[in-house]
Amino acid sequence: MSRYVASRVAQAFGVVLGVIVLTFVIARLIPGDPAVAYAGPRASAEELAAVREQFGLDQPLWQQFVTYITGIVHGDLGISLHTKQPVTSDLIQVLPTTLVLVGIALVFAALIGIPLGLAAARSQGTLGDLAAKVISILMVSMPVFWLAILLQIVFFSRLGWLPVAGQYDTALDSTSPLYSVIGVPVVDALLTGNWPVFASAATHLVLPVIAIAAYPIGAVAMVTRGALLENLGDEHIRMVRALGFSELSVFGRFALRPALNPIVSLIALVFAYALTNSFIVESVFNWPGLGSYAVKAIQTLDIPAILGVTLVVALLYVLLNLIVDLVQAIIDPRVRA
Amino acid sequence: MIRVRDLQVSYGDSVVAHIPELDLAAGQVLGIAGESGSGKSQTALALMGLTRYAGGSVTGSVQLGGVELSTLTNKQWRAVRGRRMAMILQSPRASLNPTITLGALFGRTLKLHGVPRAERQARMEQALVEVVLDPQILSRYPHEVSGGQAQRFAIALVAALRVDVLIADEPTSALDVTVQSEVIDVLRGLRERHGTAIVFISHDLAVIGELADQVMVMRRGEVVEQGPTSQILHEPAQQYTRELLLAVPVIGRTR
Repeated sequence: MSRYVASRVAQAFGVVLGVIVLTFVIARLIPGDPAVAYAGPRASAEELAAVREQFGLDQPLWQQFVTYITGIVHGDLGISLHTKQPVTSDLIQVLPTTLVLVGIALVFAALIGIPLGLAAARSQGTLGDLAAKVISILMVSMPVFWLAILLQIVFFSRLGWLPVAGQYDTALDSTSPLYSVIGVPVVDALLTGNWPVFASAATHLVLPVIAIAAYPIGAVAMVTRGALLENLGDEHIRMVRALGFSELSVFGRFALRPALNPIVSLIALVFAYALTNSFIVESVFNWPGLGSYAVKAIQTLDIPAILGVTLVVALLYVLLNLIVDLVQAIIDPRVRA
Repeated sequence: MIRVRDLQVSYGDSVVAHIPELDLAAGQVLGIAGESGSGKSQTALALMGLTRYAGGSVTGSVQLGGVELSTLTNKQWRAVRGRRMAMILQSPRASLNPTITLGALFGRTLKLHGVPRAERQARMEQALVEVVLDPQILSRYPHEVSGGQAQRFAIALVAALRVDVLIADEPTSALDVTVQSEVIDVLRGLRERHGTAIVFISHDLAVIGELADQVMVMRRGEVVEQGPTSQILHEPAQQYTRELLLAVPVIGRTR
């Protein structure tokens, strides 16, 4: 097991290094001059040269790369062109919001998707199974921007049940001032026991979370159903039935456990998908997260910020895949071998 | 012990097995022979009440010790499976859950059938001795043992449950010849020590001949011939049985 862990960690390092090289190269290949983007279209040649010198854009490519790598090692990702702040501190500020949003969506994916898939597999061929399938397909096939806007129209404009945008009702600031802990209102309010703000932040979370969680829930339900049905024909299932185990044990224990590996793999995959979707959802619901930051960075050709976002997303993805590999090895001993 | 009358297994409109009459006493071994698709495995599933999980249905009567099984509810069936009847399958390793150790499966099964925690370890070890397996095998996963070990483990599980009837569906077909005879020895021991009645299913009449007291030959879902082993093997009445016998390789014989 420890050898397996070591090899996985080594591979993860390799992937991260590859991502760093690749993003750096791609950023330099994009058409458009970041110095022009920074200094403005009417800047003189001298001003442009000054900007190039300030950001090291006049140096040879390999030297820029060495500077970049050295910076990363020291946690320095350069200065953002659009916020004029260090990219690292920008990311620390925006990342928690997105992680909370995506994290809650993925927890829902597991808590709703797996039981939904289990129920569908259990009632294979019935109307309930069909309903579960239709719901899953709808969830997977709805474009996230469309779903987000649809949710706003239905639950805000028509029904008026839920707020349309923002993280909490800022009118509460005068009566229940919020103290920042990690910079995400819903978590800060929970940690500081600020219940009025927590209630408001929770209601503000509902629509964005639904928008992001829809795809993961549907995908997890479909894969759970498929993986279970595939296992149900196996001889080991016939064996435990012949040994007298109840159908609850047969499904929930003996069929689900070998089926968990594809589900866990899928959760890592949909994490990447949910993260990308959060870029859109954050824009629609006006959330100051990684997505909004990335969109602004792309619009302003803010290369340090773009590279920083890419690196962080890649790191998160590699980290999650590492966790998935380890979880799979725990679930299924054949993975370790 | 087992009394079958007019058992019929069907999937939709097609009948895949029909057994007019079958009786098996305690400690007896019945061999069911036939090529693949002859309905022998479907008969095994029907005897265990598992046909419904494969999507089929069963009519007719199956009695175990005088109790009619065909009218049992799912819950009542669970008091029969693993307690009075058990089954071992063709692919010994594939019939064990890949994600749990053999010991975990063994322990859970004994727990399910009400064996007190304090007795479980002793019961497991005693059963493993009977099938000539080292108790260390309990900490292994199915992919870490050989096919022969896995099949002997499955038999140990059945022995520990002290069932009256064991349905063995092609238990030796996936194993090589030397391992086959080990498994047959273990089954013979099970019958002698515990008086377990065995339904032994195989396409191989030679293997059946080593163990069975009576043989039933099936083809396309119907019983072709039925009788004492020596009679079926040496004086087969039906052409189909003779063909099956000819399919058995015998050293020194040329066709």
